Amino acid sequence: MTTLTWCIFLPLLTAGIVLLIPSSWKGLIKTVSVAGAVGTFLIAIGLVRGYSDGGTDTDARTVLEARMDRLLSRVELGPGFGTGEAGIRKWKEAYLTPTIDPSTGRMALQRPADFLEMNPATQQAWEEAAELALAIKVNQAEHLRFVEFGPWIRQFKINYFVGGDGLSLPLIWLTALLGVLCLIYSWTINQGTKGYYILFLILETGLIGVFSALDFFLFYVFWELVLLPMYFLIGVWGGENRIYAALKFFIYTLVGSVLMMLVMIVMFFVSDPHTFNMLTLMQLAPAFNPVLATWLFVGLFIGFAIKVPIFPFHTWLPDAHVEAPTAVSVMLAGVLLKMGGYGFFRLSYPMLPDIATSKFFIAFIAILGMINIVYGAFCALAQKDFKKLVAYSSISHMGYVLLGMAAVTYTGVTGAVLQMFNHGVSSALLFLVVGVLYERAHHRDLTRFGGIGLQMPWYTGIATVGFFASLGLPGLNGFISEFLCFLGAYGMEAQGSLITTPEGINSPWIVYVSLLGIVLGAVYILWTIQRVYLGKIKNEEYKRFPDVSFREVVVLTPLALLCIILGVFPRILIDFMNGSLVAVTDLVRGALGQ
Amino acid sequence: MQPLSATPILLDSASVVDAATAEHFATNLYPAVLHSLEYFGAEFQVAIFAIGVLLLDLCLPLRASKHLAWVALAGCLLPLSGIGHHYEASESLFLGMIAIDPFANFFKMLFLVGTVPVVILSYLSKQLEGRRMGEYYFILLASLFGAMLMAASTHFLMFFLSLEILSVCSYILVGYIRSDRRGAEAALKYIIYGTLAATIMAYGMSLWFGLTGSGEISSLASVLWNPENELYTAGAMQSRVALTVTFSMLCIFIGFAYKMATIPMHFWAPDVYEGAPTPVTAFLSVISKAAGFAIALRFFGSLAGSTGSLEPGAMAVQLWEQVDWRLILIVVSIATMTFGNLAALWQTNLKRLMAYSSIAHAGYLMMGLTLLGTATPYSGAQTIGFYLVAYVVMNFGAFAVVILIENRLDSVDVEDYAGLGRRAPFLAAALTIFLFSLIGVPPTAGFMGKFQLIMGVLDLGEPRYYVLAVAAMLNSALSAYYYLKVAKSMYFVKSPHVGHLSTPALGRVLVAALVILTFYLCLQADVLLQTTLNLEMHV
Repeated sequence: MTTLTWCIFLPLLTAGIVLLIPSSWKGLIKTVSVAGAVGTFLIAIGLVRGYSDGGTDTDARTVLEARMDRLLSRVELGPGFGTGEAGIRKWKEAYLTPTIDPSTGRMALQRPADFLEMNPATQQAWEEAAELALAIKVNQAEHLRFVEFGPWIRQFKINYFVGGDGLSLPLIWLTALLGVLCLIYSWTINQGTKGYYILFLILETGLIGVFSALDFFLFYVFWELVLLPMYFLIGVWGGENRIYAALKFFIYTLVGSVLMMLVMIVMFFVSDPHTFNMLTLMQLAPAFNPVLATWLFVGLFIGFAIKVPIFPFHTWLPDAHVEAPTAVSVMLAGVLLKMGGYGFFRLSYPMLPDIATSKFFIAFIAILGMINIVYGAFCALAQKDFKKLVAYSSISHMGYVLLGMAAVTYTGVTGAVLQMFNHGVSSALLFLVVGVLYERAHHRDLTRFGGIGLQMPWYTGIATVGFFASLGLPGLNGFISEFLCFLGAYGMEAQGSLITTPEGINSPWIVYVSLLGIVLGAVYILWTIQRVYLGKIKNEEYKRFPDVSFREVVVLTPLALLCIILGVFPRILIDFMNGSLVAVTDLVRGALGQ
Repeated sequence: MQPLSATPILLDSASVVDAATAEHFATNLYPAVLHSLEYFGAEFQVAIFAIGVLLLDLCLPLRASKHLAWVALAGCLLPLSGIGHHYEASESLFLGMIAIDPFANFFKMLFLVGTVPVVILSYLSKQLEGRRMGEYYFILLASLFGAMLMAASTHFLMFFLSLEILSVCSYILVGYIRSDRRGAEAALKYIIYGTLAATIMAYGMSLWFGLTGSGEISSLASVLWNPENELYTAGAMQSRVALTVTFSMLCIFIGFAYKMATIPMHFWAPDVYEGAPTPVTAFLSVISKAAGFAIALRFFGSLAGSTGSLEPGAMAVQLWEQVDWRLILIVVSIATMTFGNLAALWQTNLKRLMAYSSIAHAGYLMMGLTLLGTATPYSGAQTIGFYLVAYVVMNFGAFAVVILIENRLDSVDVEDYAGLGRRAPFLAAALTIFLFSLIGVPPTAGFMGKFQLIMGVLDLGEPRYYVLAVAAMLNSALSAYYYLKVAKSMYFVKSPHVGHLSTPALGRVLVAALVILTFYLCLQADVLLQTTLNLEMHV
């Protein structure tokens, strides 16, 4: 087992151990869970370091080649190939070398002419190896490390195929970090502690699994695995209206994911050889019939749009956030929303680049991004509930991701992925900030706060970092990614943005309108700071509030520090992601020349 | 037209005593029957245990009567070895009345194993406590016998007989608690619908018998789909013949639909499920339904001339398509699942909810029937076989929890489940897992089953199958609403009652085993797939 597999399943394993502890031993339950989360985080750190160090032993190409060789040892070589190693190599060259199909300009692998005369074992070996031969040729494959590949359900050609690259590893790292912080923050949960911690750990496994899966089926399984614990975490430990919020969250996401399942199965059947391998699909799916491909894109789009969430599929989000307990909100905003964005970059765009770069969908996604930014900001402006404000600001911030994505420039894509990460950090921090205050005041009404800064200076200091990061103040992380998104969308580089150039939709006004979001963001954030932290202490009761406790400092500080570090040295992350993102962008832009 | 004489029709032959017939019997029939008996061991054993339970009960005091469950349990488990012994056999038995083949054996094993939880649940159920159980287990085993015959029937006569054995036994089981007025009402409803369905089916069969002169489905198919005979003009079926064929197919389908609980014969389900003792409800919703699908698969499978591979019956398939039977099945499938799910949304009685849910699942299962005779490698028998195993596990799991809780609360109302998450944490968690499996969320057996059905449907790539797949998926999203209602009640609603609900260890072991199976069938689906992939029918 590779380290990545450990990283995925360690939380689940911990959940299994917690299950065996009697539910009255709350201290032990919490300790074991946190220990498991810390272990996962340490593994995640190891992964990130290992990725930067290079090394090719767990590289996708190496692993898949090795797997191919194992498959080919079963092959019955026909006459003219000789025997032994040399014969197998010759056979491989003859039958398993993908070629560029001149009519479509795409890579394809023709079935051997004498396929039907081969014996069944050879046919099967060819089917399985062909899928790998195509996968190896994808330019993203060279960036994937910690790859593990093994058969799972042979009948449907489903494999356990995981790996991490510059796109997924930062998100895995963030999930593991937030897992630790949330479990520590949840130390005060004393009702149904065991269930809470078990569900949280399952959630973590699901999330890390989604970001690591390279087999569509496996991806789907993890995707759904996230859904279940979330439903209960909101429904059992949530606020007043939790039942409604939990159900709304579940049904919304389930509708999205059943569509995704249909897309997944159709893709399996339309590709030849049939496959769930995401890398292989990146080779084969672009050649699908355009009408079908459009439908597939729409199916995936709805599935991911609900998660992001993109207007008009966003209505579950404010409800879920408001009702969810703080730690769950943190997970929700910090990583769950990124599943949608990640899905676009991992599945929709690379697999169906023609559709993604068609004029209609560029306009469609860019305009939805614009609506998200501006509409989310206006909604945030209107909120009286502190948590709802942060929730709507999330919607606004995810709009930048769409804008950068629609432009399909290197800068835009980098900005978008960076924005996902940065938003994960800053929104997580903001939800914690709201949670800390709520724990003391037991309400979140913005109009009733005031002067908290006088009473809780340390807390206010940390909160301000989060707010300014979210506002996009230079020197903090939000600025860089939002700036890159705009820069990418406006297209100040050789390969122009699809939003502003004639090869795209030539509508720079989308970017101009979106810029409004920055101004509105400043308005609602500054106004919030003013209403909550500045001024006189409005209520005598607030004078009794203690400043942040040790536990809260432990949880808040790492995130605040991350905001600053990534604001000053964004290169760390950008360099880390660069290779993979360039590969994605190249792949998608490749469709433009067709 | 020549009636087919592949097998002699036995109807009146017993009264004929001339020498030639006697010789014919001695040389042809007796050896054939004796040979058939070799393969009839499992059914024999079940029958012997059934009668044995009845006789044994006479010698037992009332309070020991309950323990006859163990004898009945042996009656479910012992025949398994006999079936396993000649699992791969493929022969026609009793002069074409029934067949032994992997398909029949698979379903027989499914029924035998599936009756085990019914027996255990009957043993645990408070509703059935303090009664003479000899008759109960006798009838239960007799219905099992009927179900086993259904899976093997290859002749109209046996279709009717086996179906009626199962039905008549089920009527009695439903009304087993004589003092319960709801049970009596349910039994009466069940009988009325059952008789109606059986009559319509028999009428349909008679029409076909008239057309072909045969009741054996394989020879009947070879007459119906043979363009050489007089039913055809210039290679096309005459329109009046086609009309008759379609009409009588519909009639026969109604007989099956009654067992499967699909539209148009689903009306009985909610009332019967609600009124019957809960273990019987579990039996009806799973085994009886599975038997209905087995017989439907056999019937339509033989007619479509294919059980997976197209080669032998390619001509039959072509002709079979002259009657657009698949469209009818698709429409019925979509209507059934949509109706079941929509009606379930408003239910507050858990047994009624499960009744509508079982109608919805019959709709999903029917997707498998639409695959018969198509070129997909995901054949109807395979997908339905897998789904039924998953359904046995998850539905019995859900019913097991319902019964264990009913024993303590005397209620099957969703509202009374409030707070169970704290009062019975294990059962509540298990029920949640079963419900998620019924929704079709990974990594559970229900998901794997649904995944295969959708795989089969989408493999064909025809627009109407796309519609079917989309309808099925949206339906499963819809079904989440009412399944979650139960989970919601258990976990999210505070209950005025507190205190732990203790349940018998046997019940918990059963539930735990079913939970493990629910995950196992998804995570290690390959194990079951190796079996379901090879469900060949004897042709």
